[in-house]
Amino acid sequence: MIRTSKPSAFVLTTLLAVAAPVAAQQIENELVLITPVARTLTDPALAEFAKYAKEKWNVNVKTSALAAGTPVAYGRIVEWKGRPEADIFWGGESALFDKLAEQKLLAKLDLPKSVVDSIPDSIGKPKPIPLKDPKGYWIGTVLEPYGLVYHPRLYQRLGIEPPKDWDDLLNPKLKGNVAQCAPTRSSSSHATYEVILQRDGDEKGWAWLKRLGGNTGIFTARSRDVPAVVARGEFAAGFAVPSYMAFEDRLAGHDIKFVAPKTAWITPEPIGILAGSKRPRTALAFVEFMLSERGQNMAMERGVFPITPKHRVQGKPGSQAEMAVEFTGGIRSYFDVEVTNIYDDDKAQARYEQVNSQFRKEIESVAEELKRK
Amino acid sequence: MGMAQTAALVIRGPRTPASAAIGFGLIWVFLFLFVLYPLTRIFYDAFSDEAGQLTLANFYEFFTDRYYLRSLWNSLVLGVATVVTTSVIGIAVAFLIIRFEFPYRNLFSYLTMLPMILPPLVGVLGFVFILGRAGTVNVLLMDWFGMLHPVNFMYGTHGVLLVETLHLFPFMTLSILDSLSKVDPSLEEAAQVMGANGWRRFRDVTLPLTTPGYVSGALLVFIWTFADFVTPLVVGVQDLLAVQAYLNITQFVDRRIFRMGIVISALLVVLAIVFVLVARHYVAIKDYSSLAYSRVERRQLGPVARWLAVGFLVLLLFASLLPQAGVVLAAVGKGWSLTALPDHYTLDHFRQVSVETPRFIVNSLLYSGLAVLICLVIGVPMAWIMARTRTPGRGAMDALTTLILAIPGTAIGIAYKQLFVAAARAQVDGRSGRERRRRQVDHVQGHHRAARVEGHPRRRDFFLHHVDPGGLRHAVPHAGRLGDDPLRNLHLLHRRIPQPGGRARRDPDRALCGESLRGQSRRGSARRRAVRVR
Repeated sequence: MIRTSKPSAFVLTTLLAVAAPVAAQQIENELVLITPVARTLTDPALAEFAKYAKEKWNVNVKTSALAAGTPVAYGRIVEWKGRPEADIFWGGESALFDKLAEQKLLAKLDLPKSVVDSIPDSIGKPKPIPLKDPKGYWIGTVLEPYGLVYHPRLYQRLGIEPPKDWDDLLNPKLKGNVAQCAPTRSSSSHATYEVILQRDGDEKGWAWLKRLGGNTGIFTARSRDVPAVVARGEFAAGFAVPSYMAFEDRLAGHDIKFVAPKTAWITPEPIGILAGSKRPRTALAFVEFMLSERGQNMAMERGVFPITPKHRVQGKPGSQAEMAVEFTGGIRSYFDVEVTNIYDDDKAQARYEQVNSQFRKEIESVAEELKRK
Repeated sequence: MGMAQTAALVIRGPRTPASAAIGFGLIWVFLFLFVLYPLTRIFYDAFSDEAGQLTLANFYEFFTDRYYLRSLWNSLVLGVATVVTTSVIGIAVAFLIIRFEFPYRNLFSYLTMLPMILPPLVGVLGFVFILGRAGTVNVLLMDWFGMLHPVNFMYGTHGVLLVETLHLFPFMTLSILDSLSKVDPSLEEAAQVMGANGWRRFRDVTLPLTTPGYVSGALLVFIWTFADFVTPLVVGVQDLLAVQAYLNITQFVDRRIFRMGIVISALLVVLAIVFVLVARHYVAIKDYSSLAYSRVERRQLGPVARWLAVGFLVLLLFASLLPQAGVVLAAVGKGWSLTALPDHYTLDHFRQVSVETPRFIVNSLLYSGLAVLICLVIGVPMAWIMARTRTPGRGAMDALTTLILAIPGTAIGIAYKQLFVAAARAQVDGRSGRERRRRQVDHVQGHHRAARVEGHPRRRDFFLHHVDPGGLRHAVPHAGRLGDDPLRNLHLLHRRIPQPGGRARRDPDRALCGESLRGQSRRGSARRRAVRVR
């Protein structure tokens, strides 16, 4: 996916200032990511970085991404035992980055203090979401809510108001009209199942999730398919969708809207450099690029939010960035608004398999009976 | 017989005995690596636990899990139902075409084969575009009749049945066509002389005579449906055996669920073998006198009947091919949803796949090209050995190549990965140069892909050979199904399968194959095998 952009003079000066420390050295000409982030975000990021590297160092960087779900990516990195086949791990839960750092599988990020300081320690209450590692092994890149999507015309046809919160998905008029991916197969779904369970407590939480199961018309094979089937109008609403995945369907011209309920979990999509990376300078340059004005702007045009309070999603009227603002409900920065977070990642990680097997037993295997209720 | 003798002479012949022996050996190496190994691996994994201890616990879990049992039952029912529906349509079409004369008969005989050669995934998506909840038909119904809720044509087992039926009936037609044209007309004439007319003659004489062809067609339809997971997934059906195997294996998160995926794959293999054996047995116990192609007189249909026949075929073709129109519309439509036809049109999608990401097209061509090459190099000599020689061991060779048809692609991919990636790693361990390592792994990946596709023409060959000699003579070898697996998944299979949360982890590869103390020697032999491939 190639994307064109016209960085302003301002952008260029900022990024030159930001990138000055690495500019002294030549960077390596290859970069490999291992990442659970979908191609719709990684491809433009790598393409834009390659352009940037060409302009700045006159190096043609050959970029590539190993796509792997979060736990899978983590497992591979552990297995590489410090001789990684990739340079950068991008995306997933920050708890896993902490664990990698403990095993000395991440290299300390040698970022300029000004860059690190531009990112707050955490966001959200009552459970703060850490945005960077105090020890400096990982740092957040963008803010990305796992929300819900809906098809406005279909909602109109069904005669119901647009959804605002998770509970609106339990509307009886939506019977058979909700799409979701099983938490056994999707980390965004799993996290959002935890949001509900931690919001309502286990007993009420599972009762809620069963009612959602009763309204569900399809369990898709992949999380990316949830916004896709809603965009086509096959189903009216979708549960637990990363904002940028939904925005891709909007960019493709579909009539689809995204809502991040108040308790939606927001991931900082952490990034870290793998210890033993053969291309440490290019890897660091990529991290800096992602946190620069140019990198943040690139990401904002794909439907995610800036990681620093100094940036906001903004563009000329009719631009892709403005489209993203409209799409995600008018928010330009999560630092402008009160962020509620109730998701506790430690708790979620500790009972990962238990939640999966309970889902299998109480929802997936009895989906037909739930629908009849 | 004479031919077999000649061929056997060639094998033992004085001209090139050494090279023939080497070629024969190489074929066995290939079979061992790509058939025997994955098969034993799947069964070993199915019968062992995380520690590598042999156990029946996995099967106990399967047969006490209500959901898995329901999946098994549903798969069997769906397979049988598809055989019934494709039989009705397939036989009707075959009889019309071969026994009757009506307008455009020749054209129809070609057109009715079309649904078979269209790619299955494209087919089911097309059905959703036309018959889905927001498909053209439902939108029109809702717009014209003010219906609030769409008619559910697609989402559910009935949707799978519809798609499989309209996709697979040509296989049935072909099998019947071939058998029918070999039925000796004198048998039917004799029946007529003895007073069996019309339906009775058809039921008691003609139909039984086509049994070999029918059984081969039915088996193909059954196994195809049984092993298909793409169609059910698109229409949201997950309680089928093949779907459960695929989903469990590709989720990678939960090791227990992953292993159950392997267990289900093993069951799929066993069941497929059972179906094949039953079908062969059924055909074998009936005695079919030597049948040769014979000229059949076509009956002219009456004025009403002939247009009924045309109407039936047109309707059938319309239903089977309309979804393809849906695919075309979706390809040029921009943001098509909830309207009968797209509101906006664009060629941008074509630009994207051809200009922005040409590698998908390039890779598809590359891998299918490689597959064809491997098919030629391995498949042709193998077919020749089996059909025209009496080389010792050809029976075993035959059995092995038959077995691979039944193995779900995902399971094979996992087994290949465990062998080849581990071997490549072991080999470069201790050597430097990651470039080299990557090349090797890529190389091996290429092997998997190509090798997996290799099975398909052989599938056709198998049915040709064993159930009905000459049965699917005209069948177009069709890449893509029977437990097949999108290549992208194979790529995914190279990822690890760790436990979540980073608790005490074992090397998943080793855990999976129970490799512990035996690891070293296994790696060693794996390396030797891999070297031979290269």
